[in-house]
Amino acid sequence: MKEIVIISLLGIAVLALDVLKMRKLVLPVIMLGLLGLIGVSIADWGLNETPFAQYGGMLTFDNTALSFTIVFASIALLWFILAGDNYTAGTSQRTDIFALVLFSLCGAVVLSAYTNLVMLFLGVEILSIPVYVLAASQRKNVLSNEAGFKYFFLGSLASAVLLFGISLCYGAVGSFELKAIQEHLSGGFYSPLILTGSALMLIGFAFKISVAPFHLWAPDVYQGAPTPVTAYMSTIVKGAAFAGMFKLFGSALQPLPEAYSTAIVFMIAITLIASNITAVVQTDTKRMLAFSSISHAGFMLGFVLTASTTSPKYLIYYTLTYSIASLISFFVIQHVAAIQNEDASTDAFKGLIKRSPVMAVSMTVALLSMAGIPPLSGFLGKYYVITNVIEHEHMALVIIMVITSAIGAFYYLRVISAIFTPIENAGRIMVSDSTRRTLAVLSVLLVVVFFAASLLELL
Amino acid sequence: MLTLILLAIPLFAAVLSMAAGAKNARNLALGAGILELIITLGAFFLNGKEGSETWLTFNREWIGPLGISYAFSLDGISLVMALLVALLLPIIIYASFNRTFKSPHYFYGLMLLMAASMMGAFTTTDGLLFYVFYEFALIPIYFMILYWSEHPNKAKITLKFFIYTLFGSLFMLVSLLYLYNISGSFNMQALYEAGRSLSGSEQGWVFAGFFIAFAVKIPVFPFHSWQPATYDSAPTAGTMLLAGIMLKMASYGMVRLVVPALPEGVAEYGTWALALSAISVLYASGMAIAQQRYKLLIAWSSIAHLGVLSAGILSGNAQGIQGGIMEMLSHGILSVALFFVYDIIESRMNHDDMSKMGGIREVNPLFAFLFFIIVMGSVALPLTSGFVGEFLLLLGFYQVSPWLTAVAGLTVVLGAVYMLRAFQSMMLGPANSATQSFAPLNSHEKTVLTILVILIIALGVYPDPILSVANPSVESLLQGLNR
Repeated sequence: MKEIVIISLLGIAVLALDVLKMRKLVLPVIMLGLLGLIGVSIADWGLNETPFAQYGGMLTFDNTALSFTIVFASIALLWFILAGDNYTAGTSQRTDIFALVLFSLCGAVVLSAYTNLVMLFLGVEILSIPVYVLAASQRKNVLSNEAGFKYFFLGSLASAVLLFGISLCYGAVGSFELKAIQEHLSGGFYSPLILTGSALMLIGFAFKISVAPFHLWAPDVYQGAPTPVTAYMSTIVKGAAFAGMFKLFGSALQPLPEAYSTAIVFMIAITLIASNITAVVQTDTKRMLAFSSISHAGFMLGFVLTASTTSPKYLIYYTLTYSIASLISFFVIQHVAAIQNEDASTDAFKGLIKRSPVMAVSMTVALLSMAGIPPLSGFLGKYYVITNVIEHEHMALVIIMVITSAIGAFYYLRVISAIFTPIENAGRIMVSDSTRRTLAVLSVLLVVVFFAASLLELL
Repeated sequence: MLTLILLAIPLFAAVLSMAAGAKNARNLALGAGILELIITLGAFFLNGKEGSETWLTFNREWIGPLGISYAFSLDGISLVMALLVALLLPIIIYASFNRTFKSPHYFYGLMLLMAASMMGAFTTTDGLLFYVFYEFALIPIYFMILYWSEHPNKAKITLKFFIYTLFGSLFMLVSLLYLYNISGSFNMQALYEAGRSLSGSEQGWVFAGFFIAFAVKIPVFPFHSWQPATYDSAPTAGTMLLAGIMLKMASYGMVRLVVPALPEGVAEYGTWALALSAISVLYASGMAIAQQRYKLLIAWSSIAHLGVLSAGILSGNAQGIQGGIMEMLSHGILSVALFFVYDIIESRMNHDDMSKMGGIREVNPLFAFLFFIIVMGSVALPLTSGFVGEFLLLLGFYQVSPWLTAVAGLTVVLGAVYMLRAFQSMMLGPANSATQSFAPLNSHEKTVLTILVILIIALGVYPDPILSVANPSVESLLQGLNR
């Protein structure tokens, strides 16, 4: 409860600071607020607080919800540090953009704590609506407008489908409560109504997390949106949608009908194949990373497939490590593209090792982590997925995961080899000290989180 | 304890070298390499002594509920492999002294990182940790080739190399996970039991996963196509690390994981693997004979020798494995020596086209003499280290399939053809205008070559210390297997 209040107040406070012309205070206040949010979440650890009990307790802040909150808040904190370079104090609409990010973060927290389908829908909407605006925030850029429009159009369609699914479920069960749904299904019998309802919810989520065959909006939106917004979308928005989906499939729609797990297996398979093969032919790194993000969504869907037996902590680990790598790579792309006429092609990365060693090395570490090469933490994330899938005996899926991982390494390495290809008279790329330090710390984290993976068992 | 120190020295030295800057990097790296060698020799001394357990093993939980632990142990086999790393590392570092590199502190740092990962792979007793070290070794060598190679096509070659090996090792990961799913722990003993409890056909599938991974890395025909170009484009130190040590991780993996865990898989499907190994020997020998360039000839000859190696190990009996361990050590030394000869020739002639050389013996008899001993080792002449290993390997292989052994045995004959031909066209005959000015060896080159030649002869004349250290471990590895 306190978590939601803090975030909402923080968003309003930021807008108020803008009105009061105290723009210099905006970033410090946000940092303090997010640190406060993390602190409060840690203080609430183990309390299982259920606010609004008199309204039926639609949210529960158990440890899983709190750890998702902490992860999202930390990623948001890093996002603000890194985005501080792009949205300097003079930029127009800076405060609006920051406030929108905070409001969207509020949706992410709701999605990780909901226990009621109404809250699920509210969470999805609070999460998405600010991002539609953010995607179109470069008003004079056609691509950004296209991204915003596309995202809004398909996103609201997905929300509508999700809502339809929720209402059908309500029709069958007579309650929005996850517990009630679980009890209703405990015999393993799915009435046609709830069968249709859960299929629609699955499709709605598939849109939000961008897995095939509902992923086609993602590359255009990721490429067109301003790069910091893309970084936000691929980390918190995606992570929150997965937190919501995992909860729905892990604690309400259980046991999952055979046909549905088969459907999810097929979705994962075509997601991995389509995204990785398409990524190979991309020349624009931002678009390539969009496809890589889809491929990671395919991997993360593996956790949903095995949600009945998987602890959510592995999903949290995957979200965290992928988000760190994703933040690094999108912000490096932003800086590299910014000084060469918004050119984000692979060739733009040539000679980066000389032009900005810190960015070059952290980008390399991030890409290797996404490719899943040990000893970087991305490897353990993929490892957790594959162990779970093997436990459920989907061997064919495992083989597809393995082969597409190798294909994935191909396009990541292409960027890395551009980074280490020397070029003539390359000017240095200057970035602020705070960005440099943050990138360095994040890339060290990607190694440390691998060796400290046992901390995960504390959750 | 010692295992951790062996891992920590190169790791720590790598960080130190990268941080300390270009000036003292190579001396620092050499110091670390020598220290590593001393500690390994200490471990050799401790082996088999009472109470040495606590020194030679280490076990701490990493991710407890998943059965993954930081577990290391120096048994006989691991000791020989650790010796391979610790012996060759200082030699390779010292051999690189006569070249100057841009940003040498990163170059030597990456070399040390690679040594650390290989040391880890050879000493760990945890299946997943083995995979982690096995994969990690790719990263430093990838950057060594990408950044320090002068080959025009290096980006393409490194990409092929990386993807190829990654692709292979991912199959090993699947096989490991399949075993883990039964055992619930990555401890190697648990993996052995899990593997043996599987039915024959299941073992065959798991075996296929491991075999693809190792066959790519060793490499065995038809998974070899990344190798010659990669060897060719890598800076010599990188080639030495690759051929001398890194590929042995794959043959070591066969000894450590495949043979003890999947006896029926090896028995049932091993024939295919053995046949591929035999084809590999023939094909690579033929290719070696056809080469004009010395470095490519060595690259192909390496495939031929390693074909015998994988065949011997997969025959799954004590002789084959003993021979495999001996051959890994010997082949490591020999390939470092052969590539160092390349480095000496290339630094003087700026090319390695054998048809344009000749008569170097007249100009530089000492070099020709040392090279001749190395060639003899490479063709497995008795009293050289190459003989002991290959003899035992073929002996092991013979018990499984006499016919294929006859094919694989051709490696010795064909090896003599291309090695002696190479020696003849480069060293013998009249000196031409290019070779007339072949500069004498400097003291540093003499030292490296002499050490290598002494090792080749010493291990050939008196291989007992190595064999007797490895023997008990090989026997305990094969215990409970009815072969």
